[in-house]
Amino acid sequence: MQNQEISAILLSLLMGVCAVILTIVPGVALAWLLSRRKFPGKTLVETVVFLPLVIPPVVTGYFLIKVFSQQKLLGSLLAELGIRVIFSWTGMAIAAAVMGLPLLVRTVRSAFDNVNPKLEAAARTLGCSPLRTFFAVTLPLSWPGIVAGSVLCFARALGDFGATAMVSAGTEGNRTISLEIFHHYQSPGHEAEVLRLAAISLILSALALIASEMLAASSKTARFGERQGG
Amino acid sequence: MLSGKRWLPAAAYTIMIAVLVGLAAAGCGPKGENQQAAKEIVVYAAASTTEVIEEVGKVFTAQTGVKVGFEFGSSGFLARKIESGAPTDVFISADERWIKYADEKNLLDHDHLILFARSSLVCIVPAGSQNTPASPQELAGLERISVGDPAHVPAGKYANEALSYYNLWDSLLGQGKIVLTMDVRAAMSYVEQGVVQAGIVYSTDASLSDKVKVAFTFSDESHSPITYHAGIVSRTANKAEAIEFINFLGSEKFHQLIVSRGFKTP
Repeated sequence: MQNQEISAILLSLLMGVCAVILTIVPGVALAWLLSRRKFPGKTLVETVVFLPLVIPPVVTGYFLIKVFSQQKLLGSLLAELGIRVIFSWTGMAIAAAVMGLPLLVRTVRSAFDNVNPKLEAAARTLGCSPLRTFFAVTLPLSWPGIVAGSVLCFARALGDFGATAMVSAGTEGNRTISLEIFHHYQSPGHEAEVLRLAAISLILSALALIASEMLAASSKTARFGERQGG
Repeated sequence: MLSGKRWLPAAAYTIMIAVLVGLAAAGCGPKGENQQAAKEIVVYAAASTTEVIEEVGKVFTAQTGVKVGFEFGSSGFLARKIESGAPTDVFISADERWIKYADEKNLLDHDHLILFARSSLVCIVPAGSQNTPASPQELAGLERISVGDPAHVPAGKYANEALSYYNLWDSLLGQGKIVLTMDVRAAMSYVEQGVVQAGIVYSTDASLSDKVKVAFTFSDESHSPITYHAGIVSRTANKAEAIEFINFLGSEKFHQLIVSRGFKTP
């Protein structure tokens, strides 16, 4: 295996980790809001959060380029601070995070939905503040779901192509596994690289999915205390 | 087992799978009937030849009644598709490298290879740019430069050669200033959008867009000759038509056309 393939694998893993780090707090907060609260504009928020799940990833990438363009306000402000978004790891991490956020929010919201609100109410009657209730009751009970959501977010970020491709510089060291595969696929005579990376990508994604499913299943037992059916 | 309402999901799944299999079966298989109706040849051509080859296609159809389908992209990627068995009759490459590659793999008809045009390499910047480099060395003062991926885009390979000639490639790459694109037109598109400060494309590409302007031209000695080659794919079912198409690329009429578009004759 060549150096560029190894750097592609490492970059993909890094993007996956960055996606989780960037989305975990806002994602959990959003999931809690959507699960526990009704408010005007809730449907709009839901739509915007879940949009990257359904629109073509290249469209997401295109929006990111327009938002962070150095000719516009945000991009030029960041440029003053020395932060380059487009064609840098920063941009790729943001793209990965945007693609992974909906999956995190969906899974964590489902986990919160599975936490019996009566338990939270009981905690409140015993004197816990809403914040303490969240950390003492809600969070521990939904923990497997949060981890499952993070793993899904990680896997989605790991495997992203469209959005990442738009903001990647395309050079060695700036290609994730998907981009590396596409680079080798376009270059005649690079079959071996394509096969190797495709296999690795499959294995990594499968592992992530299995982990996520196992954790999601164990979060359902949190509500009932024991498995149902038989 | 299938008691009560339990048969509903099973029936739904069965119908869904049957529909999917039916669609797949309909999608597979030879085209058959369509090909007898009107002859059509397919041309895979380098992205930089898009306008001239489409023009040739129109003339060709008017003269022979044969329709022409196109796919434009990076010559290396096209060669790879041909190698994988893509249904095409003519291959046009912006690089001798990919024509040779296809020929060595016996994908092309040896007797009908033709060099039909030449071009030059330029550095372009956004039309409104205040930061125009006057020479290759001044590229170092820019942040991002778009270039085709040398692994499969001829313009990228020529750019790589030219920048290496001036000892700039490694330093620009190392500083993260190079952005690789999947074909030469994507490199130009990035300059048009202003997401990069400069790009390296062919002179003929630059003249097509009013959103970019030429900063400078790379001297011919800094890179291998930019030559456009065409060949007939050996497994073509439309040999005669393909030969006619290739012959047109060697004609005086075609030379006039390409010169008017900024190419040079062979």
